[in-house]
Amino acid sequence: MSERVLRREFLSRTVATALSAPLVLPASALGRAQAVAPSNRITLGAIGLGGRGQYDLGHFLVEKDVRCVGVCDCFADRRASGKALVDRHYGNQDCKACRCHEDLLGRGDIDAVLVATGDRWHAVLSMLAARAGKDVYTEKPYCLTIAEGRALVETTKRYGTIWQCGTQRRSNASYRSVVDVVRSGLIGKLRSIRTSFGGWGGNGFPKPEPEPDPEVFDYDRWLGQAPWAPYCKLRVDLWRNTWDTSGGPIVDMGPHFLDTAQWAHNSESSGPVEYEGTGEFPEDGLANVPFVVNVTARYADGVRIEMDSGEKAVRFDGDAGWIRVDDMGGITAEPKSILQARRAVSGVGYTYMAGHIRNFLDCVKSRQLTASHPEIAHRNHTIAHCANIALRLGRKVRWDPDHERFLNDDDANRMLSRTMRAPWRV
Amino acid sequence: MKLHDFRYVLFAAAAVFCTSGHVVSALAGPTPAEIERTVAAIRAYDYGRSEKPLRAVDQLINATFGNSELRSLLERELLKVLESDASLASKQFVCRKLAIVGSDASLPALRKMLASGNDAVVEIACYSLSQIKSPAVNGILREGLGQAKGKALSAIVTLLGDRRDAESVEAIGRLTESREPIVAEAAVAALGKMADAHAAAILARLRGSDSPRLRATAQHASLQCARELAARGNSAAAAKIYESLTADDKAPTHVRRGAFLGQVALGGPDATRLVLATIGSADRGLKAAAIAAIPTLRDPKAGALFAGKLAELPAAEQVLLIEALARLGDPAVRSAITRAASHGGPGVRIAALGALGTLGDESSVPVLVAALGGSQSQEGEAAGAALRTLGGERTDAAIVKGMQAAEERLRVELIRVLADRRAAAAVPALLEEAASPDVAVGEAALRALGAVTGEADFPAVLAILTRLNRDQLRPEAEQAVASVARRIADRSKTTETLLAAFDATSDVPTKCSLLRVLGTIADDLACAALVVVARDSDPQLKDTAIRALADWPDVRAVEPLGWLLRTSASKTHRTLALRGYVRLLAARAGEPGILAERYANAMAAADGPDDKKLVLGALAGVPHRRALTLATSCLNDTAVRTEAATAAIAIARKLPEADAAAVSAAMQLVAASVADAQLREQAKALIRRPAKSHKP
Repeated sequence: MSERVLRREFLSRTVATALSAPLVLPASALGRAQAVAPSNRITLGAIGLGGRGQYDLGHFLVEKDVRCVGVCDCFADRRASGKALVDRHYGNQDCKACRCHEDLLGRGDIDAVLVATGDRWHAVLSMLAARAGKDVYTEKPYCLTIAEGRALVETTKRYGTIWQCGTQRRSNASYRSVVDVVRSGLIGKLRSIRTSFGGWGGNGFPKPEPEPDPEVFDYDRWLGQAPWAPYCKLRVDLWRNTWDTSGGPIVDMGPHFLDTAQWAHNSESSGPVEYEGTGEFPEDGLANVPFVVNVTARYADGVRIEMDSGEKAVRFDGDAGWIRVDDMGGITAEPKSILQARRAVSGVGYTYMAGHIRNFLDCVKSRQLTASHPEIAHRNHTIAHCANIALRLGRKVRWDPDHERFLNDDDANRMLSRTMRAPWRV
Repeated sequence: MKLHDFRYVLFAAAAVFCTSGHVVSALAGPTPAEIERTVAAIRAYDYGRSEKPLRAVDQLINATFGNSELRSLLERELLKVLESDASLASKQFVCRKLAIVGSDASLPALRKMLASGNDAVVEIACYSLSQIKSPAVNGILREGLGQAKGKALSAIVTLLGDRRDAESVEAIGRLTESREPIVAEAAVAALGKMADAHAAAILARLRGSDSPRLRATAQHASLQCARELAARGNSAAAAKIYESLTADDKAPTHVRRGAFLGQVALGGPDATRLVLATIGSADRGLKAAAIAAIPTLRDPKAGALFAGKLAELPAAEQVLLIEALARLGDPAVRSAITRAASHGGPGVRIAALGALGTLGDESSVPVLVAALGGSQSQEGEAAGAALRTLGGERTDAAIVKGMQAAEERLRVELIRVLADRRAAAAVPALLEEAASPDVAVGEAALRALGAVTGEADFPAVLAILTRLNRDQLRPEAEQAVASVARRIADRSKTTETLLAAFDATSDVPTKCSLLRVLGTIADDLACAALVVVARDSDPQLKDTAIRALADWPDVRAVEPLGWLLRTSASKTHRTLALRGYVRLLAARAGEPGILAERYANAMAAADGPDDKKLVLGALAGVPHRRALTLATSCLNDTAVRTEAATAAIAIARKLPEADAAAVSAAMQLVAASVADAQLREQAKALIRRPAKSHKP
């Protein structure tokens, strides 16, 4: 504990003496092919170097105005492979690897951080990074509760932090064209939106096991804000399947497709007012999130959002046609004239990750709001959390998007937040 | 999206699931005895054991919603577990449930937990207490301040801060001096949330502390305090804190930036003045944030004011200001941005050209057209993008004017812009450009007409095709006519118009063009017309009609192609017909026996191995004995033996048990014919032994 506190002290000290950030031009105004002067570079630290973290980091590394100088992970093998990835890219051994995020966030030479840890850390690390003066790109889902999401919004406002949620479909031409189609009325009046999040599974009984050496795997740090539970490898491997450490399938994929839904419905600062549905929950075992979901939410204007476990996609149905975009950006529509009319792009695939990261980097320089800025992300995550609450309570819940409270349901309102294990807090 | 590791699917495949809605209805109105029994079962729970008893309690909670009597009983039963010698795991579960159903009745038990001295126990007690609204909760948390230490004390302090408990400000203020940094830091943070005058005063004092750590944590908490005060309507107190932090040149840049943005968010003329002063200052740490804050100002004069400052700023800041002004969306800034688009430095020009896409109108067209025609590719790219999104009622007309005055290369670019804008007003000009002596201009104009025109323009676009005197433009002219025709709702009327044009001309190339367009219209009338022309004595017309039928998009052409297959004297035409026929058959859902027969016709007409392979490839998808027979009949032809065997095996796999004998016979033939070992094995595996008879 004392070691951790010393790091926090160090963090405060170094931040207090940090130099002012240079005023630099966004790449969009420079042209990306140009060589980047060191003064125009963004120095990056990456926290969370699992598969997704290294995937994201790879996209950051190819941006000419990024220089990654540090990686952090509570798994020794992951921080070693993260460092190797960075060092290989630059052809040197300069990247510093650390176990504790305080060591990385306390560095005065880092402008921005990539957060790609487990879900329970996304908001907490984002807020700690903001407090340390770093801008943040974080993976989704970025919060475990609605209150945690709102706290992130407030924190980024408090510091003027540039923050981007990893809902990269926002920066994808396919998704944008589908939003254009819906917003321009080419499918007629929008009636319903179907969002499908794919299959889910995995279960078991986590028998307590001896805790590993923290230098190899720091379990306490991995657990983070979640209520204490004894170490078991199964618990670590199946973290997505328990409410303590994750949010289940709706919160996992929902932010992507619900973001598109909100965007097309032009309700990015609000959300549906009613949720109802059923979920298939495992009857026993560690997994307590629903494996199969079927939720219907309704906006105040009557438009419905269906959420289910079908093949990952989002489909918009209007009174004059429909359009659907799948996980990889492939578009289908009826009548076909819809596609011709908007010259929709089909099958763009995952290369668009780069566009979302580029947008973040440009905003770090210009201090403008990102494409998936905190309020937008909070509202689409809120839909996912409200859907989960309706499923867990097994009844219809009514939601007031303006005050972010459920109506006439104290049980539901008590699920808006939860305390974090000290010393973590919002 | 993240990859999921499903290595531990221990029993998921065979798991019995419960659907929440069903369980609730099944448990509606549990009896007191059921509640007692169900809750008592969780006493034996521990980490790693069956969680079924926990799930049952979850269902009880939902089933007792709205029934205060049963809820009270449920709470009492949960508290019995909490006060028993049940495991920590069991008590953690109870506390999670008390977070939902807990009331004042839970407080004595939770109070004891706060005094336990065990971090995990205190934390899970706080988990419950955080959701119980009773003011009495604050009282027992305040008691806990004097009992707990370290992490546990930090958890209690944080919870009091979250509950905005004014009565604990004094005590928490003292804890800011704690020797345990984790406690001191939690205390300072809690004061920031409490945000009353007393808390703000303590934080102000701490900001002047000799301890760098306390100073820094107090700065962060003060930012939170100011936001809380502003949200409660106390702007004056908030402004005082913000001013103090912004002016503190020893404070970190992001703290000063946060304070600056907080001041701006308070609004009013002071906000505009503050942003203006910061942009004009040497404060590099805040300048970019100040510029980015411009669109948030609610001052109607802000646009003109900041646009007037544009030329005074260094190039890098001009770029940021232009992007901010574009987001502000005030037309008053248009002239300044337009000037920057032609007179600024390279980066500034690109930013300004891009900004005109959202801010500009018809008056912006000349500068954008000039940039599009210039030698700088990035500027041209920005100008092209802006021209495509530019608003304004007369903008299309202005672009047309610019296009007509431009040299050929730029004219082509502007025609493409008009096409992307779907500029209906440009149709007369595009019709003129379609006749341009410059082929590139003519092609671009024809493509644009295909994109822009509607039903009313159809005769004019058709006239271009029927009067065309340059074959170079024929593909684009046909495409333009076909594109417009497809957008006309009444297909038969369109077909009749095309047929009338066909009859009215004697020019064979024009007639051929019209036949190709008819092929894309693809209605019954067009099909019939093509069938007629497919018998024409003119070889060019006949060839064009047959090719159009072979490329026909739907099953309407199956019969005509079958007829051509049987009757055409030309090998080329038979091959074309065969390919179209097989393609359309493969796309057609139908009775397998009839399909097999049609493939047999196609096979009979197939001229060589390539055609036969085509038929066999499609035949493989037909689950019928006739198809199997047809495939095996080709085994003797060495040029297609492998394809025949492959098709036969594929068909055999789809046939029902009733065809077992035929399948076995066919597979024996295949196994005996092919040299490929893999195919032989596949065939042998399909040879079915007769089922043994069972005696009753």
